[in-house]
Amino acid sequence: MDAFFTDDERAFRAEIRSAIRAMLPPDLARRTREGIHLSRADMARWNGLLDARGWAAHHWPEAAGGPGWTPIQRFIFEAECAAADAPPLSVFGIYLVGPTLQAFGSPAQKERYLPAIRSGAEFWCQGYSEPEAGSDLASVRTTARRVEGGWIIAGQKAWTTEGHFADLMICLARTNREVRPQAGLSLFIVDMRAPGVTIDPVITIDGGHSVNSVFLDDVRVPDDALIGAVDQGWGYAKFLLNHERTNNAQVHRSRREFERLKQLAACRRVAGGGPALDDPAFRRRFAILEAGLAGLEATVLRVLVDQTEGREPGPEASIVKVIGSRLQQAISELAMEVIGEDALASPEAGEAGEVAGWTERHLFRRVVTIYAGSNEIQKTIIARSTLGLR
Amino acid sequence: MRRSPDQRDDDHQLREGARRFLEARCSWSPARPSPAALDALQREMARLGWFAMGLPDSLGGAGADALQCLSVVEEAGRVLLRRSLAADVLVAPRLMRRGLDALAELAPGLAAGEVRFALVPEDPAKGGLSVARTAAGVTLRGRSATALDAETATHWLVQAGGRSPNGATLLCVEAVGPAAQPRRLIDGRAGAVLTFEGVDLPAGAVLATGHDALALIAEIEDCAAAALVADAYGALAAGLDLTVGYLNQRRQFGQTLGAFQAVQHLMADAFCDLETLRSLMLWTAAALEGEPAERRRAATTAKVALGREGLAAASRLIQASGGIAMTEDYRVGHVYKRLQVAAGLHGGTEAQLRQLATDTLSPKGRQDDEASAA
Repeated sequence: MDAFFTDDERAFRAEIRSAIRAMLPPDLARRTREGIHLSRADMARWNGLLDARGWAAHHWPEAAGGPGWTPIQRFIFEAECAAADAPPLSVFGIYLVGPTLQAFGSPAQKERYLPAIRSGAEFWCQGYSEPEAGSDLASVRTTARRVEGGWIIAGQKAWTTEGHFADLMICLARTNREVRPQAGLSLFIVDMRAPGVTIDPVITIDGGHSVNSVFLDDVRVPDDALIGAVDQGWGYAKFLLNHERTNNAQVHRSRREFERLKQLAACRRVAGGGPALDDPAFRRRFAILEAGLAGLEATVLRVLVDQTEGREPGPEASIVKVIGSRLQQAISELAMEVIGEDALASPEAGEAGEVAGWTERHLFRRVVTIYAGSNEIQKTIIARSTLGLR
Repeated sequence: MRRSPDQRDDDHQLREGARRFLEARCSWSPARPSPAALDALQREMARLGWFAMGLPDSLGGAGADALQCLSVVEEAGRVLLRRSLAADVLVAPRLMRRGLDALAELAPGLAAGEVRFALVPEDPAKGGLSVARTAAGVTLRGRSATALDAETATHWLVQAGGRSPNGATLLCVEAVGPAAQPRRLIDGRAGAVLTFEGVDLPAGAVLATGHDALALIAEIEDCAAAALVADAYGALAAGLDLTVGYLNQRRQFGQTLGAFQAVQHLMADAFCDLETLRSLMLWTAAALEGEPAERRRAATTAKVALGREGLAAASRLIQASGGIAMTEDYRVGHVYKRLQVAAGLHGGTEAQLRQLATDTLSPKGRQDDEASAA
């Protein structure tokens, strides 16, 4: 999509590309290709390498330690990281908590938490969802009760990704029952090692462990664990959703996976004897996905060009999660066809080499149309807010 | 894609002006206007500068880029204008920038709305068009693919001689004689198939041959695809507005149709399709200013999206509207037909997918293509 970029941006891309290739340890790249649930150590290592260049918190403002890149430069950086098979950075610290604290945190909170997020020294998890509050986030039941010198938090959090190795949680809790549900929520910082925090692993259908149930049994947090003002948590959480409009499109990972799948299809033989990539039926499916990915890339770039040039993104920003998540699933669905029977052996049977990772990725991929606001929620938002149906 | 604030102002003014004119002078109605009325309209458009804007300074033009030309085409799509503007707004002015003298002398007539071009693609499946050299010029023989508005055009931009450097020829033929067989299309537009039974043409009719012709034909086809996509997006965007308005008014089961979640999701899907199409149109518009490989990839991808997401969106508009959209007097069904025609012209969706596979899948395919295009 060179037509979207300026000459300076193309030069920037060349620079980033060679730097990333030189920095990325091959074993990290291999584990990124082969697994979907990376270890904390792997993520932290890459985070640290990037931080040494000042690139870890690449979408933070310069004042907060970011490199001062435009949205288009960040797009290029993320594309190059994905193309090199660099591990993804932990979403919660860099993408979620960092911008939230920058916008709403106290000076002391910023000083205490932001450097460790940037360096990868501390990991965060997100305590928003609950057993009774999935898509309907406003029905959060976890409570925070005011006590002398702090708060007592009680409740249960669900689908807590990376909770088992996180140091801290950003926790949405009810502080006021007297107002409408959205108005009585607040955001807290919870130490995952505090007394009363219990973590239960949840094994997902791919056989992997990345999500957890987290029980908060009268966990005591200090006064300064509150982010911003009391009862304002809903607004803060929504701010963030608007702040990161294109991140959950996963455009770069999808492009990289698609390119890897093409390489795989060039050597996997299918019925008829030839490589999948020479088979007309497979070629048609690849072409359809190519067109779909290009549509996603062009849409994300539309949004980012507007942001880079200082304009509010148009209504197209609302569609990237829906179309991006569908594409992620379509890619792994095609991978299952390309790999054929070998993809059916359960992951612990240990199919190594080129096909490793595709099956568990495919199974886990069902989640992408559910999380971060299920696609049905997204479509309702598009219909009501963007199209004005009522 | 990247626009300066000044360009954005220009873009905005152009688009607003085009929309005002088209809505005032040719808002959609089920009755088809006469060819004479469309010719008269074309002269009015000429006075607005639409056919001159893409011409270079040296020919009295404003040097408008592809995005600006396509925005006029898109606006014409909104009212389902029964005349294609692709040739006169986008393609012919571009070719005139290439220093083709035989074309350049037609620039004043084009700018005035008196010269009207039609794009005449070749249809290899039906034998194509052969070109034989004679002492006085060339002889043209064979049948073309469907050409929009060929009957009312004054000049035909004819692709002939196949896709090999030995035969490929691009011609500008004065539209005279009985060659055009009318073929009214399902969306109410006038198509035609041209049949040349050994028609002798002067040497001056040949604009380019060999590699030059192939390069120009590739550019014309990419422009044609881009224009079909822009037109289709305009048609769909206006159809979506109409449908949203209808859904918020019509009541069933005691509530507006727009309040039903099933209908909301149908429309959200249509919107996703529509905006994807627009994104690809914007990419293509930018790529039309760049190198040929990306240009073709963008145009092919956008044409695929037109045939898949675009048509899907149009069918969703019919579904959401219900029975009224099945009637000839309601615009939404015509949007669908417009899209169906656009998807089928200049290479159908499956042909585009094959092309996209060739261009993006195997290095071998890519080399073959470069060899044949080189």
